Amino acid sequence: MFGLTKSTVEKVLLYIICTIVIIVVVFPLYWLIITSLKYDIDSYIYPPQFFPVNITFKNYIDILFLAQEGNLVKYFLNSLIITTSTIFLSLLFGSMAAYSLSKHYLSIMFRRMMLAFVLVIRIFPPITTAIPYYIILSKFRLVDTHIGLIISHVSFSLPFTIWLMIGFFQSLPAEIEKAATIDGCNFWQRFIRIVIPLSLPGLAVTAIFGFLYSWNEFMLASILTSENAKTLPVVIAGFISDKYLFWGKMTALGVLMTMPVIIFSSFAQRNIVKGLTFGAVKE
Amino acid sequence: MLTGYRKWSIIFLLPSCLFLIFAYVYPMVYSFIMSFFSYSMLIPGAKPVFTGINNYLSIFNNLAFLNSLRITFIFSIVAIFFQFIIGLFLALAMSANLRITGVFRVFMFIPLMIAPVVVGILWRNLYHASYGVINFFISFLGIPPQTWLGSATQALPAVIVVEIWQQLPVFAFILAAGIASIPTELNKAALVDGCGRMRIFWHITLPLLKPAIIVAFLLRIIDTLRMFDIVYTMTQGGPGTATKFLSLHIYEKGLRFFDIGAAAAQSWFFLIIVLLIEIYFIRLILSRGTAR
Amino acid sequence: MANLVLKNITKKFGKIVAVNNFSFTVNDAEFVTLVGPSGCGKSTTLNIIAGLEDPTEGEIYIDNIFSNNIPPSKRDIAMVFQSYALYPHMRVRENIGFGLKIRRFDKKEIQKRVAETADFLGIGNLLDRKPAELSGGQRQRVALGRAIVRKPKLFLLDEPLSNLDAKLRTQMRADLKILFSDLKGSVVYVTHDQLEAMTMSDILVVMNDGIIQQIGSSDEVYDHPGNLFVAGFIGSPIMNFVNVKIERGVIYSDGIEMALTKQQLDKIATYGYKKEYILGIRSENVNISKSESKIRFEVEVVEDAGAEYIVHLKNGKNRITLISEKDISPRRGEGLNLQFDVNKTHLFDIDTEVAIY
Repeated sequence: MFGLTKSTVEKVLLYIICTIVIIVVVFPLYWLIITSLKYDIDSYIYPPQFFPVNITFKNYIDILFLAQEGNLVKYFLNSLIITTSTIFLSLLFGSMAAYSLSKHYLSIMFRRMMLAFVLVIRIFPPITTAIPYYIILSKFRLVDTHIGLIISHVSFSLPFTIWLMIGFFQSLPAEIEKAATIDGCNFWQRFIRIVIPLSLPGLAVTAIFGFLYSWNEFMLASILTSENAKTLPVVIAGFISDKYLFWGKMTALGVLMTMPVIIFSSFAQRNIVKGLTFGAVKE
Repeated sequence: MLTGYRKWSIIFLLPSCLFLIFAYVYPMVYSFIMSFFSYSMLIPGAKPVFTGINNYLSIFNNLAFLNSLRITFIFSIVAIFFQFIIGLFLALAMSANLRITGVFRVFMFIPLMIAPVVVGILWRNLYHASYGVINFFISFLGIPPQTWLGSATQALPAVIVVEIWQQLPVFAFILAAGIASIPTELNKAALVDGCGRMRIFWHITLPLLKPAIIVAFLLRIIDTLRMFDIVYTMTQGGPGTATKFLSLHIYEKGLRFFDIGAAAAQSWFFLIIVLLIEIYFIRLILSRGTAR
Repeated sequence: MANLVLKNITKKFGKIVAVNNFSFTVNDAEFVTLVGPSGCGKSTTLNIIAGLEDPTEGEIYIDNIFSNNIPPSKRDIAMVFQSYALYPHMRVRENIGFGLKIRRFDKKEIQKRVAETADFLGIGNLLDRKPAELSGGQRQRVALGRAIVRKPKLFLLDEPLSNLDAKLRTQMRADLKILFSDLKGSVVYVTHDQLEAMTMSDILVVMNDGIIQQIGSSDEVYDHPGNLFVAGFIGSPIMNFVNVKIERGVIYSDGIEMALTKQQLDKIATYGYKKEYILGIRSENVNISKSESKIRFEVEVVEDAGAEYIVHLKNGKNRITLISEKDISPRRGEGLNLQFDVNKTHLFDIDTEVAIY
């Protein structure tokens, strides 16, 4: 258990525990997938069907092409637009801010203040800003627009991006940047031609977390959008009615939403831990 | 020449600052002002009426709010406690470096990838009183079917289980990273000195993990206190107010009843509590100087 | 190529003075080395010359132009770093050409110059590799190429050899010397290795604690160290120091009794008498005498350095080393009669540590 050699009993025990945990962790995802492949009628029976008898893609076809709730392709695109814009803007502006704060050109007091400000913002429970932000957006006539939600998502990902990227920038060798300066780069050229290309692993991790956040975010999306800029999580929540639960449709949409995240994040498994810790624990 | 760099540094900070000012500072200032007014958006043409600290005072005899506060803290404390215990155990298992731990690491991420709204729906199905899988499983243990989300006493624990399930990887991976950063020489030296496994754990692993543990606690507290998405689709705060977390309470106050002044005061109250807790933890981290 | 003048440069970091009132001149096509122990301010000085840091006080002239306010990119200097600082995401070709590209040189011109430089350095076959695919020596050459290709007014080299293994370092020392004399480049070279400084430079600037200790050629610094620090820093094995008293023209200390020359006594007289002095003598100027002598020491340990022995000796408080041929074999505990080459001795003020002669 401490990176030292183990007895066979311990190994077997570990295998058993790991297997149980994997089953507990994975079973709900399995259930999500098979429920989406069942007719709703098969979801209401007891005992539950662990292996669907009648497999159908009806739920997928329904939500994609025949939904009464409106055109799902549109909401899918909304989610895509908002998520990609959020990732792009928060990576660009966040890493710019992080670069500025990781250098010593501004006074240490000022940089400390900025970092504390960013940290405090990371801590804000989103509901505390969501309501006044909604009122302000409605004054600017930005409710139910892509821009309104993007601004809010970017602002939410910025603190995270800034903290994570500062860590990456500080770990870059100082001499490379000096060399770039001597080679004639100004601040911007040094940032875009040297620092950014060298920080791609860091940017990838931050992008994944930005994706995870913006793609799955529900509270702000539900408050700030109603129809034009509605995203997938809001659509799913909308399936819930008091009378009837459309398990098939809800889970099918759930699967469609989850797959891109799993695919996208499987590219950077190892680096994700860095993101989980908000850059605070050095590996 | 440094002045040129200083100018660039400010320019680089500017876009982020504008975003944060527009999405945080401005709303919070607005909300701070509104917290001293009585203002309902439901009544057409109603003007805000200045009521001083009335909104804040009424928090203390607002039973619904206090109930939400209580639920939120119970939820946060219980969920984090179990996440910590199980997470630590899993982190130790992961550091064993067997073949299965590699597989384990890959699968552990899955719950984090699923959107909380989807998680809520999914578990709502699993918990279902008449055809839920969970009732099916416990029937093997001789336990009769439970109503779970329909029960005022079982709903909160049920939500806690879901929270533990989804966010367990955070603790497990942060602690695993912490364990990985402990030099193996230390363990070897302790073994040579004749320490048993348990003593190594108590006297070496755990103390050295402290910074990682504090960071993980900080992050989990931030996230559990703002719990919203899962309960929104799983219970919508019910039954009754059994799972009406603070975020949900304020959400309804502001956007269902449009009692903007009261919602603002409650938001600020909530924020200050959260800030006080977090500042305590951040100071803990900074004073140890082990994390940035 | 051009000259460089530093006038009264001072750099403070908060209350710490990294460089104190630093003045020197590098003439056209001169190889000047800043040498001193780590933390002596030599790298800070180099950064100030490059413009990577601003001096707190003082003036910098490059090519007789006042350069304090000129940004590094416009100073027309090139720098080679200890870590080489190659851009890992660019091929060798782009690494060398990057400075020209940023300065908006014509594409054909860049290509031509990169090819020329690579041929000159013998790395023409490596142009399409990434830095990670190169050996230490090859990276070193790419870093040099990046500096040379721009034909700058001034080369700044910050410990460029210390990441190489010992054998390659000796080789590169010679190569660099030839390279820069071929280029007729003005060079400011920073190193903590006194041997490197001695073998490569026209002028050495010995530094300690941010202060210039001595400026001079290798011979001057070696044969006439200006103070105790320079005497102890330059040369290997380290110069022998013993505390001595002088009475009537004769030096006394444990195991030492030696008459000084007239010239030396005159210098002491002009300097003023003191109670005690520090006598310095290099190991190679201590010889074993076959006959009785007034300098007697006991052998403590003998180190076999291959070509010669380094003999450590002791008498009372005094410990010295000498270098001996291998035809004799001193044994531990054996008493030896010694002879000091009196003309090669150095005498220092025990308080100010300044050289008296």
